[in-house]
Amino acid sequence: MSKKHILGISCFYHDSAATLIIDNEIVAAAQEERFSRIKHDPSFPVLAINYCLEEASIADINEIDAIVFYDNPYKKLERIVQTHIESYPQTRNIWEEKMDAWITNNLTIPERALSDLGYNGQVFSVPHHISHASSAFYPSPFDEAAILTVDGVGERATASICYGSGNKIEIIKQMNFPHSLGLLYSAFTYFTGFRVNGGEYKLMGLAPYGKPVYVDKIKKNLLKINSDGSIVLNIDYFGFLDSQKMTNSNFASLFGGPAREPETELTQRELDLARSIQAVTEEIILKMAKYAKKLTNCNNLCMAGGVALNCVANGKILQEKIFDEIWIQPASGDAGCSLGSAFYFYYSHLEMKRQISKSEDSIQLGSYWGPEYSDKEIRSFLDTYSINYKKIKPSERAALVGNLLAQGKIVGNFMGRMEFGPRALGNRSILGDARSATTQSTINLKIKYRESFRPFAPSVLSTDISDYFELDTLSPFMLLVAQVNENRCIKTDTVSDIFERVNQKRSDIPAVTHVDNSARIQSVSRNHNSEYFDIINEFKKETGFGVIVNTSFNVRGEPIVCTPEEAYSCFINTEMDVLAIGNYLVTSKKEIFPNTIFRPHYNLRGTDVRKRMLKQQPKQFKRKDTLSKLYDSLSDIKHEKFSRDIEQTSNWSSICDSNIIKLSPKNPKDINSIFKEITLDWINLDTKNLELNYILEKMIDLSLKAPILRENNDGVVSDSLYVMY
Amino acid sequence: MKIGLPGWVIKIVKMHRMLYRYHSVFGHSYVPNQKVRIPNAEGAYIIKTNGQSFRSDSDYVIKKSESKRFIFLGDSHTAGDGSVSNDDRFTNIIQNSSSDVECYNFACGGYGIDQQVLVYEYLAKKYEHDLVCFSFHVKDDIGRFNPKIDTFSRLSNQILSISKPYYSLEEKQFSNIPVPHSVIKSLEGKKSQEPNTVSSISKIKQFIRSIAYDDENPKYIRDYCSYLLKFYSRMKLESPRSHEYRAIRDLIHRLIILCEDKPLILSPLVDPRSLYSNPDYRKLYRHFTSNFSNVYYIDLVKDLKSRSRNYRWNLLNKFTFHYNLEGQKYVSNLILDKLKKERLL
Ligand SMILES: [Fe+2]
Repeated sequence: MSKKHILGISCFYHDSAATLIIDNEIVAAAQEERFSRIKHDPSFPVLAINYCLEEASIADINEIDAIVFYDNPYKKLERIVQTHIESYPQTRNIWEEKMDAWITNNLTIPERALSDLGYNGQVFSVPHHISHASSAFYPSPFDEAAILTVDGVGERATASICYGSGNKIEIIKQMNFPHSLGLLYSAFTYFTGFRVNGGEYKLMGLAPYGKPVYVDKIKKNLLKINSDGSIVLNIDYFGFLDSQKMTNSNFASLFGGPAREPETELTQRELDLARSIQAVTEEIILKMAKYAKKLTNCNNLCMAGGVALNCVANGKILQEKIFDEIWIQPASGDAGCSLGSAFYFYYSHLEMKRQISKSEDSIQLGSYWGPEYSDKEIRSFLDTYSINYKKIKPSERAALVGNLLAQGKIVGNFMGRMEFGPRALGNRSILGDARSATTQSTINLKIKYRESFRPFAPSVLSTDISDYFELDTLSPFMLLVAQVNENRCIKTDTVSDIFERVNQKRSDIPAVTHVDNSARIQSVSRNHNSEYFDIINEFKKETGFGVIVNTSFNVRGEPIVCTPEEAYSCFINTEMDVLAIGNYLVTSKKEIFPNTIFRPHYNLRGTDVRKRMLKQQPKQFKRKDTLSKLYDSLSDIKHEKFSRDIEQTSNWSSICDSNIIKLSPKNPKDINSIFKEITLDWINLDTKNLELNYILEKMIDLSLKAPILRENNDGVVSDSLYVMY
Repeated sequence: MKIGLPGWVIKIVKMHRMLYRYHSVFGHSYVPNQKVRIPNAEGAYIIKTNGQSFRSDSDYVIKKSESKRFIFLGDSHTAGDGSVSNDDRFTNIIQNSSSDVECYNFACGGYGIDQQVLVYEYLAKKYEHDLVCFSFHVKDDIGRFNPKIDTFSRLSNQILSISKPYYSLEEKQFSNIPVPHSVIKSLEGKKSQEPNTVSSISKIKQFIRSIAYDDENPKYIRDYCSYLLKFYSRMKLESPRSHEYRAIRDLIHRLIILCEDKPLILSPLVDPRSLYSNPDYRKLYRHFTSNFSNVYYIDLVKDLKSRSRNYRWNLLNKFTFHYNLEGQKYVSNLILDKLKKERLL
């Protein structure tokens, strides 16, 4: 039997990505942002797909057996329409502005695959939370596991509990929109002045500076937490149903004033809010995990979904010892769904046998599935721009870098394949000395140009974890937080100023010790990344410490570097000391393209192309008129309102989305069958309702008339909309 | 290394890999041991290079085996850039047509005829071989006897001018070697200098151009003037006094001497869309074939003239105007026929 080539893609939301698997093996996986250089790029991932095919030496994309899309756009449409019906008439602006691009992008995936990729094979879609669950279970080292997925929202589901066994995943429970832990956390992200879908990380980093003074207020007003971890949000406080904001004025008055403006000074309120919502999140996650244990009685847990990136909460699950072992998908956000959907198709739809590797390791290994650059390619770059370098012997590289780190140098380390997922795990990393009290502020202020309250992650030898941290398991993806061993910590005076507190020396590895003496750990095993292991080991030989600072190789607001050029341009524009790029060492900094090299202008993608296409669309304004009229028709549709029942003891639903569907290219002449295909799995809206039929038909019509209108790449999209659509 | 690409093509060619690098003798060459997938509107192709920096799946070795070895010189059209993967190029098709032939393709995108001869002189000649096939493109390469080449930088998304070696008619030698290293700089759209032109013809040309580009004029007049412009450039190129003509004559002559008594096939590639737009050097080629017994000429234009317009257009990739798989097969057939006819195979 010939090998199955399956391409999973996730896009049109945020952080689009592509994964290619051949049979049960991952060949390549990468996020589009790394190639397009647009952070969290949501567009159709043509560049990431191109890379995946390049890795497999596939010129003709029609050698791919199936393209699998990471959510069910039709079910998502139901939720979006339902939301607009419920919020009518407040959401007219959003509808008019966003629906056009949304339907054009999401209802024409097979058409897009043909026009942008030249692919005319089969296209399937996997429900969003199944994609997340698959990304967590199939690559995991477990034959059987409970699976917990938690994010903002997929189609309807905002969280799910699944049971994975062999090649099967069964979804047992799901929680539905608008009741969402992800959205709740994002609301606080927005309210504290950070960017939704990206700033969550900062909020988590801020938490240890605050006190949990708002916990009761949050639990009393914003949501009800059931004992099984399900939640009921009080939507009177949130804006994501009917506005372009995550929170509304009720929310603001509850917390004594409006949201913090981005980039303004942080006050004690934000610190306390961060701490409080973190505590609430941990409580919910723990309850969910316990419920998952109760439902499945499994010893292992797999996790994915944006909320699974909350490593502090993950650390708590581990501490509570609810499960024996936990494996968390490193690309827990939607990028990982490209991998999950491909595997779900392979195992569940094609019913292929799944075998657990004998090494008891995840088949995702260290998650290095992006492009690699050979020494010849790197040297070609350096020579072409006459950049001075020193060639190093591969066998001496680790010792050299380890030695530089021991001297206190900040090293940009570029080697091997790029990481898949949001974290740099050594191959695209900036490294430093964890013992130095100044490393944290130096890297923050002189290299990353970012808020200096954020702590760095330690990369620790997998063999030495317990020498430094209260953790007795591996944490290869920086997804677990644990305390620094007490004997290493130093008692500090309580000072109120956040920046003073950052610079206090709290342990003998101060650069990676957060204010609460915790650390976000990456354990480095030789079998995942021997070169990186050796660097830390060499550092240990020099210093006695088997732990270093690891932060992603980028500056604030930019995606992590992918190519040697990007690594070099980041190097020359920051105060990094050394660039170790492949087997070359670069110390001198030279502008190679005055005024142009930093922040490469790759935006041509979104801009020029769109302008050209819009020019071909003089009827654009008419589309808006049509949409506006359709919006008015929403008022006539009867529907059941989103549940707000806080009396119920559980908000988990047993009616779950699990169907794989085939997305077929649409025949504009046969609108009836398109209509049927789209509404096949609809539950909440009455598809026999004539008004609704009319609206849908018109929308389908619009999407088919303009398959060339590309996604809205405006860059900064409204904070809440990103989440809803 | 194409210039003047429209925006959407730039999007398509935006790559995460470097394809070309600086080369101290040839100006630039492919990055060695590279694999790049290049999508275009007609699909995609993969460029794979070997350790010697040429497009080939395997390394080139000096000593040849029992089978015959043919060496091909050319630019992107012969290298296969812009349209096809290594195995779909006419050189590979020729190689795969017989177990007794090995083809070494020394072509590289963006090379002028001068660089192609230079590659033979400095490098390809060292590799044992039985025959040389000079497959330059008459359109792209005439007039690049110039110390610079315009190129599109994927790093900064702008057109840059980089140094290259060039043949100097006065000194009858290659100049600018080693190629200066640091002359990579932005010209912001400025084109490289055109070779010397006769000024009175220049003025006429300007006049015709002003008519051709004026939207106010009726379409048929504009079309006619565009035709004249093309004709003008041909006239200039074909004039035995012109820089281009003298340079191509010198370079072919130089290559013949370098080949010693090995067979040399002149197989200039042309644009099959509008045959009149290709400069015509047939007289020159005939001059060489009649004076040197080891020189052969393949007349693509003659063959193409016997083909339908549709047939000719289908030989090219519609977006990059390089020979597609059909075109590659077509070229390989013509060359194979000639080789058989002359008993060179
Ligand atoms: Fe998600």
